[in-house]
Amino acid sequence: MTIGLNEFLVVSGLLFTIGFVGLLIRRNTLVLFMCLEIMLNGVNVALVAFSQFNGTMDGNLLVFFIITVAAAEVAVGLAILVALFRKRQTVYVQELNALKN
Amino acid sequence: MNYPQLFLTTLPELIVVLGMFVALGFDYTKYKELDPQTRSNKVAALSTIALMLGLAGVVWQFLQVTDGSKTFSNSFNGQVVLTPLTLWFKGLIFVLALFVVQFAKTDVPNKHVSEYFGLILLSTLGMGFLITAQNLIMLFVSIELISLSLYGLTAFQTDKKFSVEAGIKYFTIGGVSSAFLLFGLSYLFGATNELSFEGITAAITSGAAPQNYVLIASAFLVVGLGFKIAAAPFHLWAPDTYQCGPVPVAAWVASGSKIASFFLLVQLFGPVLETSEQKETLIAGIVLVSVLSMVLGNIGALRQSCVKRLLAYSSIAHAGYILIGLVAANEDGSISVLFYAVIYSLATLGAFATIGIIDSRLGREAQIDDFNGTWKQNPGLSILFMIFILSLAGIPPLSGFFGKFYLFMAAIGSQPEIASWSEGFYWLVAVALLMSAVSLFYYVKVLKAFLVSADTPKLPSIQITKAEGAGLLLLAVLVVYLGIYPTGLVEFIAASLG
Repeated sequence: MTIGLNEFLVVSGLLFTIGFVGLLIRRNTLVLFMCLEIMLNGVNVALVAFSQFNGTMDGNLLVFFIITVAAAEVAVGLAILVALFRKRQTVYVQELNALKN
Repeated sequence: MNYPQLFLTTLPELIVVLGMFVALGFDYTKYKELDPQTRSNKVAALSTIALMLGLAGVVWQFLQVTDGSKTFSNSFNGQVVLTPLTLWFKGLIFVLALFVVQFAKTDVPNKHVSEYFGLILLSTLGMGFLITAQNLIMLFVSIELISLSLYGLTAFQTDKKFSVEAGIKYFTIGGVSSAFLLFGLSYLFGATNELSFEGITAAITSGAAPQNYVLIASAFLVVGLGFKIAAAPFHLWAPDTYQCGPVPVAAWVASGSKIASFFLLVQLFGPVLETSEQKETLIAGIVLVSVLSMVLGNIGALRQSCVKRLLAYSSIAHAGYILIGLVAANEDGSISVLFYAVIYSLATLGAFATIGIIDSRLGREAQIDDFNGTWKQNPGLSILFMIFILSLAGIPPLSGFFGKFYLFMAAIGSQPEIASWSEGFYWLVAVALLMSAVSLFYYVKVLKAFLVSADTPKLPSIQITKAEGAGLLLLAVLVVYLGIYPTGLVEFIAASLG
C-alpha cells in the first residue's frame, strides 16, 4: 500500500477533530490551549501534504508562519490566563460562569 | 526584491509603528512619575500624531495611485495591493482609529497606559494590512495581528470583575475560529496550488480546482469568518466581549475589525460566489447564517437591559443584514456590503462612544433605566445618540436606511428572471424587513428613556472633553451626510471595484 495524499488528509482531519472535540469536552483552560495547538498542527499536516503532492514550496512557507504565530498566540493566551488566575484563583471553565445571561 | 518600493508601500504602517515605540519609550522614561491621567493624555497625543502622519502617508499613496503613476504597481505577489479602493478603506480604518484613541484617553483601564494605546495602534495596522492583503500568508498574519491585539485589549480592564473572563472567552473562541479559517485556507491552497487571491480565483473559476476541496474550504472559511464578523451561530463571544471589555475597545471591535472582515469576505467570496460550480450550496449556507443572525440577534436584543449588551446583539443582527448583500453574488451585492459596512461602523462607533462617556462618568455599566430624562440635562449628547441609534435602526433620512435599501435591492435584483414574489430572495428580504421592525422596538425603547421619559433625570450634567465632543459631532455629521448624499461613496466603490 502506498501512502498518498488522502492518507495525509485523513490524519490531518483526525488531528483537527481531536482538537475540536477536546475543546468542547475538556474543562481546564490550559488543556483547551493544548487542543487549539492540536487543531493548528492538523492544519500544518494538511498544508505540508498539499505542498508535497502539488510540488510547490508555498504551503511549507505558510506552515512556518503558522508555527510562529501559534507561539505568539499561546503567549498572549497564557498572559490572559495568569491575569485570570490572579483575579479568580481558578483555571476551570465551569467556574467562569459569571457572564451567563 | 525592490526595497525602496517596499519602503514606500509600507510607509504609513512604518510611521505608526515608529510612533508607537516613541510613545512606549516616553511613557517608560520621561512620563514615569506622572499620574495616569496626564500620562494617558500625553501618550494619546503621541498616538494621534502618529496616526495622522500615517493617514497623510495613505492619502499620498492614494493620490499617487489615482494619478495613474506606476509607483505602486508592484504588489509583492499580492502581499500589499494598493488600489484606490483598498487605500480608501485603509484611510477609513486610520480615521476610525483616531476617533477610538480620542474616546479611549479619558478612561484608561489601568496603569499600563502606553501598552493600551500601543495595542490599539497594532490592531489598526493589522486591519490596514488585512484590507490590502491579497495573499493567504499576509491574510493570516494580519488577521492574527488584529485578533491578538484585541484579545489583550478586551482583558485589559483588570480592575473590573469580568474583563479578564471576557478576554479568555474571546481568546478561546477566537483561537478556534482562526483554526477553522486556517483549515479552510489549507484546502483552498490544496485545491488551487496558489497562495495569491488572483491565482486562487483563476483556478476556481476555470474549473481546474477539485470541486470537493473547494467545497470543504468554503465551508470552513464561512465558519471561520462567521466568528470574526459575529454572525450567528458563531456569535457567542460577542455579547460578553462588548459588555465586559473597555468600551472604546468594544467600539473598535464592532467598527474597525468588522470593516476589515467584510472587506476580506467580499474579496475572497465575491468571485467564487459569482462563478463557481458550488455556487448554490455556498449561497444556501450563507443564507442560513444570515437568517439565524437576524433572528437570534434581534430576539436576543429584545430582553437586554444593559445598553452595551443590547448593542452587541444588534451588531449580530447587522452582520445578518450585511450577509444578504453577499448572497446576491454580483457586483451590486459587493458594493452594498462595503457601503453598509462603512455606515454601520460609523454609527456603531458613535453609539458605543456615547455609552462609554456615560459609563465612565457614572462609574458603572449603564442600564437603560439610567438614561431616563437625559434629554433635560444633556441635550447635545442626546441628539447625537439619537442620530446614531436611528441610523442603526434604518430610519429614512439617515444613512442606515440607504444601506439597507441597497442590500435588499441587490438581493432582489440578482435574479431578474424570477416570475413571482414567492421565488428568489423575496422571502429573505421579507425576513430582514420583519426583523428590522422587531429591532425598532428595542432601539425606540432606548431612545424613549433618553428623550421622553418624564422621570427626574438620573444622570447629572455630563462634561465631555473637546476631543470627545469633536469626535462624536464629526461621526454624526458623517452619518447624516452619507444619508443625504450616499451616491458619491457608492459610485466611488462601484468604479473602483469594476
